Amino acid sequence: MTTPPLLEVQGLDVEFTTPDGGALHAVREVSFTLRRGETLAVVGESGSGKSTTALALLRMLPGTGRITGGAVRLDGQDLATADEPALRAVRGARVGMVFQDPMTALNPVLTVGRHLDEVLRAHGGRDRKARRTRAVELLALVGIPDPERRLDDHPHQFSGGQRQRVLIAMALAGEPDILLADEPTTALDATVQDQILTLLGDLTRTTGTALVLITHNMGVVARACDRVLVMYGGTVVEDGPTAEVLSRPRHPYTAGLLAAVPRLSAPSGTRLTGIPGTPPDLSLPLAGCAFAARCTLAEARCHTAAPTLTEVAGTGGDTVTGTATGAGTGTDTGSVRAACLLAAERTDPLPPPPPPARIDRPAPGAVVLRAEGLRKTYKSRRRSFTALDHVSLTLAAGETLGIVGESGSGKSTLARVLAHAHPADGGRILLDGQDVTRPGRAALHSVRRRVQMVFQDPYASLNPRMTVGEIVAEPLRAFGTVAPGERAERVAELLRLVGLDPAAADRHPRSFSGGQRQRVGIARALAPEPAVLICDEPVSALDVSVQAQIVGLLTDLQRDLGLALVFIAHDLAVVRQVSHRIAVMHEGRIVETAAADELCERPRDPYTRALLAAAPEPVPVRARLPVGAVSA
Amino acid sequence: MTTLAAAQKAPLDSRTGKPRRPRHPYRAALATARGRTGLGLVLLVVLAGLLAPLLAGHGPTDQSALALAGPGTPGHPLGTDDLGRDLLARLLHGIRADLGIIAVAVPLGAVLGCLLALAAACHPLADTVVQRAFDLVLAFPGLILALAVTAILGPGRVPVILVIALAEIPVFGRLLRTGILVQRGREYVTAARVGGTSGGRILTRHILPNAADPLVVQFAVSLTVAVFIEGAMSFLGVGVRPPEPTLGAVLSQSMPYLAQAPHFAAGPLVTVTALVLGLSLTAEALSREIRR
Repeated sequence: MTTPPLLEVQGLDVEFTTPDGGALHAVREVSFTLRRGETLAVVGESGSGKSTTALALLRMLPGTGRITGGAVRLDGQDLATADEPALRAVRGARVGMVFQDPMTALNPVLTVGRHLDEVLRAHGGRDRKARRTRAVELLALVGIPDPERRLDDHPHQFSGGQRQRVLIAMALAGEPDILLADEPTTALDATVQDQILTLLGDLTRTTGTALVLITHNMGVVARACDRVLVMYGGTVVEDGPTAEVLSRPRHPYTAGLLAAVPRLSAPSGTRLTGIPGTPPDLSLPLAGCAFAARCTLAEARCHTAAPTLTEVAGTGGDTVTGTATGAGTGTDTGSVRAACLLAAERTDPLPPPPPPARIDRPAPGAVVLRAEGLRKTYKSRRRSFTALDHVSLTLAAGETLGIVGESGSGKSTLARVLAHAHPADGGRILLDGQDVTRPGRAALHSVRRRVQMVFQDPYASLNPRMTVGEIVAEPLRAFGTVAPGERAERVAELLRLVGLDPAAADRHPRSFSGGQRQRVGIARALAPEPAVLICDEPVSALDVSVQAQIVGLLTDLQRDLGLALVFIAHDLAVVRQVSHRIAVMHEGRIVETAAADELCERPRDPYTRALLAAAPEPVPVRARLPVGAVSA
Repeated sequence: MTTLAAAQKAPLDSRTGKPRRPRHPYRAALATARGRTGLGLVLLVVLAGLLAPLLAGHGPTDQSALALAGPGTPGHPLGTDDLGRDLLARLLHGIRADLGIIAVAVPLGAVLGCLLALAAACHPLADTVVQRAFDLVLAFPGLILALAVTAILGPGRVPVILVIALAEIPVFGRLLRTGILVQRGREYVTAARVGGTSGGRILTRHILPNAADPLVVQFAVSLTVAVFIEGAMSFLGVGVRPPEPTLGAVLSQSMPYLAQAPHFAAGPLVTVTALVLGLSLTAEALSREIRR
């Protein structure tokens, strides 16, 4: 194909000014091209600069962000230097945007029809009737049933997935050449995510719109895009056809990221693989490769010479036509480019990741926690919502019980009821055979010593005004287990136990990364030496490379301390690997409980089957195995 | 997982190379240009008030034979008022009297408001009672409230303090109540509860420190409002009893002579402006730094 690219980004640099006046170099020398009708995924972990790159394309950078170099050419017009009127003419009309959170992106007092009408009018929509007709067409296009009637409904009358459909309709209203979707499915459940990705795929095929999909999820990439751009530390590290990059990654980071994604096919007891270390500090100047500090293959020159994105030998031309995807089968879209000094010389594929290790864990012991027929209803003035509906479960010492479900299935409520953060409305909770459903003051205190909790959000669950040492010492003080003089020593011991430097005790939570904060949360939960640890989505706010470290820590702690774990998550793949048994929750009820491997390979309940089918796997679509067929 | 995740290093100071302790946001706020200007203006006015007896040279009620002398008259740098009293002395002592009032009234209102908010946070019934009481106070416009209080107690220093405190109680009470309600829903509070921390300690150690930031800003704002209330009450003749000078009283006294002796009114006007500007800038600097 010889047509010039639709969008050409060359050497894009973006900087932010930090509060203390320093410069944060968020995007460094990013270059890529996008053809008409092409679907491109930009994938990376938090802080990799993927969202900043997307926002910089339309010069919509927040706060102190500014483009300090490079060019963004849309059909030859440079947007990096264009004036505001020119940019407004491009935004919406030529490039449409879909944002992450469909719950807050729609104005709650306007009807969906008004939302669409405003966009259409901004793009020179003529008379009202024509705009209304077009709005109905758009809603029908994104698959909202009965569009004519739904036009006059308000956002709260739509589900999360439908709202995201409405947002996509708004982005398509100006008939853009490019649809820019920033994590469009991150806030959605797996089954809904699947539907939205299908919709985006269909739309790009039927309307010929090019799609730039920003995501942190390799499974989404595999599912939705022809080409993928992998970002790390503000730079592009690899760029190539999805099928090729996923099956034969050329850059060590891409390979590490792929290995870190939990696979649904991995049996229970498999240790997750992570990438050791932490992402680079973007406020420091970068010498050499951004990934060098975490790379196992790095040589001395990797730390000093910055690699450029170059075509990797043996991938250009016809070698990949067999796996090349439908659209954009040009010779140069078939080639893989990687920013790695070694990849440029290497002819063999990267060494495969070491086979996943097994978790050596002792067999579960006696039952410590038992719940029978738990009920919990949240009542407001108008209606009541049943969060837990006769939930029963057992948990043995040294056992991990995984609890999976979509949002609103009641899994967080279950965690809070078991940890006695909320009282149950009915049913019984037995701890070591004693009824502790409605404990008295003293009994509650002793129950709390035995049952502790790790929270989902490592940013919200630590008091920002206390130092890490004070946070971890808080339960020690409350339970009086350690004499005041020995507290500092015990805190240091706990911090070492969770893999933190004891010197961290004097610092505030804000100076730590998400993974490190989650370690602090775990140290706090371990302080009173509990028998049961309830982990409510402990890794869902973390990047995959860090997720493996935290999950590994939890399983090691379980082995060493004989803890009983309740591991709540929405990602079935993680849950399968860490759990002995899995309970699937749906609408406040446990619909199926079985041994982890049994449940994933021979699901009985239709809902479990739906969850399994919707789980995005980082495997090219064609190479994907049917659910249940496990490769060794 | 055996990797020891080392804590990120504290940012290094560019000059000394030593680890830099993150500055407290309040100190950072007061170090900005805005904060420094504000604090400077406030300090200037406060110093003038504190050192009034040393700087004035005359008593605030001493009369001389010169009435309405212009600025620059020997012995009277700012001139004299209609009764021949030294304007500089009256201004400085007026500042002193004003500061004496707001320094008592605003903290009093703040403390009472916060105590009521704490009571309201403890029980839903107390909450309803306190909220309705706040509504009642807020329903009165400030000056009507001032007139009502002085109608009962008569004019004087104590009624002024009471009026200001009364006006500030619901402001602080509402603010703290909102803060407590917001923080109480946060996950770290649940975490503390599950961690066995007692209710009292959760309130004092976890909730209050995180709910306090808006109170500090409000304190600076309330000081400005108090300057206005005092001025307005003295101006209307229901404030501190003459002949004792306050800024509002001096201003009120100057009104009939505004055409022939504008310098008479200038002193209190400039002072109040400087004080209010200084306090507003400080409040603004604090709130900007906290919101970040």
